[in-house]
Amino acid sequence: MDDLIEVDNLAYHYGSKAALEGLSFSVGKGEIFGFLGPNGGGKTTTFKVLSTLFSCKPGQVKMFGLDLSKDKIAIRRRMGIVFQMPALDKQLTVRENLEHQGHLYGIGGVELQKRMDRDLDRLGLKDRSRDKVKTLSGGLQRRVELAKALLNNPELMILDEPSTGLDPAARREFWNHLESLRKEQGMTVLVTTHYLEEADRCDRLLILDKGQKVALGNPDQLKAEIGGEVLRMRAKNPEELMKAVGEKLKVKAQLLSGFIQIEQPKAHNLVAPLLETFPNEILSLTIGLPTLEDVFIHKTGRRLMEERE
Amino acid sequence: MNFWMAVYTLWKRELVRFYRQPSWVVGSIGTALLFWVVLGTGIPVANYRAYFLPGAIVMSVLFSCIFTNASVIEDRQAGFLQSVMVAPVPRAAIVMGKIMGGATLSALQGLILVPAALSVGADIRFFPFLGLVLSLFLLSFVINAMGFWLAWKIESRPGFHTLMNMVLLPLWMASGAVFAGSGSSWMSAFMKINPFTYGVAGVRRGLFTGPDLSAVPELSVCLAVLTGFSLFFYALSSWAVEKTNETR
Repeated sequence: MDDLIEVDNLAYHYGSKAALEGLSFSVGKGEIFGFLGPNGGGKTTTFKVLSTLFSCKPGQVKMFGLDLSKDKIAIRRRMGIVFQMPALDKQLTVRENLEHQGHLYGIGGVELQKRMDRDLDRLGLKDRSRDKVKTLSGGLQRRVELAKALLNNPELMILDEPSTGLDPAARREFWNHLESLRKEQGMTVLVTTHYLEEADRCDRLLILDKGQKVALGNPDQLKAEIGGEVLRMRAKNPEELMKAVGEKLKVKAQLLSGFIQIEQPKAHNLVAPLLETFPNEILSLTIGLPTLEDVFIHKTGRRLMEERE
Repeated sequence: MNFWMAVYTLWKRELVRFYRQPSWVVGSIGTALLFWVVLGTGIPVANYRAYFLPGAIVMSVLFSCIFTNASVIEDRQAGFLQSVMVAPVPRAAIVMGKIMGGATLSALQGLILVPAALSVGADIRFFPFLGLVLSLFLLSFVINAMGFWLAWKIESRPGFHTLMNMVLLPLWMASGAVFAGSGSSWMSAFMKINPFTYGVAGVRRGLFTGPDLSAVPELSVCLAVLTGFSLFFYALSSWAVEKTNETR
């Protein structure tokens, strides 16, 4: 596989607080590569380094075979960036925003008009192109951000929590656009997220926690590593029940933010014994295949969600 | 090539944003006009209205600068600037575009008051008037570049406004806009190193002629000093942006 990005031993500190420590990974051409983790996990810091906003010392970052600390301008030319914060001028129209972007990338005249038409069409924004951005819905504004990032025909698109604040339908639609870009243009996509359903759509996933790599791999493989099934219970007295489960059924259980969790190959066999042994203790019981949340729990002992705020 | 294209597009954006917010236009011109009428009429000195007009024009420029520069803070907070910062253009081009946009707007807002000069017996001639336009533009550039630098350092908009007022109003007052000279030697010295002095003088020379102007700096001096200050503050702002690694 051709590596488009190679990150070696990257670290970043805000004052004395380490935001990233010894992070290494590489991203292949044409991949959708995701960063999953709680807020403060290091996703956005990684994004800022790769988007050339932060410097990458210590550590080495190569993008398109170029050294990020030396060839920033050449690297910027070849990628499109979508920030978490809206980066559009709301007083300007959609077209004016794109024009502005084109000029910043040295594209002008007929060529710019052609590319604008192409991208507005591609993202279904054609009939809104003369409207001021402030009159657009959140979902449409995000699509304009994407159109803007596409103007310079980037080989790599990097996005920081691009669908935050979107409703699930708009979020799915945004992702459909990303996937078709990858398919049609062979574009490499790098995306940070804390949504599990988005993380599931990545080819490979880097799970970050406290600035460190927790896991790296294909989402399905990561889930398969846990193996089996995940049984989760809500109880009146979770701690007591957890102990009792261990004693009476000889099963290893974990307590996670009020839930009792059991990971076992055939956890469904425990359902009947559990309900029979503790009839008045269990309030609810769910059973399912491992999710990426379970992967995170498995690796860190904490839930992904509770870190989120 | 890329440098000037970036300057152009950032400059244009400032202009478009401005005319889409009419209250901004009305407010900054209105303030200076009212100031001129009230002070010019109220102060019991012969011909004060004529004397005060260049000061009023520069004041219009000053107010406009404060507002255009506050947009630097807004842009940073809204994320717009981030996307500009990762574009393949030198940071100095970004700074230049932003300052040029602000300077153009501010100079225009000063120029709008020039017709008022006809009511106080101005003697407008082509070359001195050209000097006026240049002085006004250069002074706007100086204030905008200074404001950009300050806005870059400050996160809060009210804080920026207060500081700009604190710095700019005394500079404006001690520029020959309100009084011609001072008996105090340190005030006279301060007036000599104050860029506003040369902006006001350049405007005064563009509107009036005659022996009254003997104490006012020559136009060539005004332009030279203002160019010097422009370059200094542009360099300072570019340097501040260049060394910024983190933009929030």
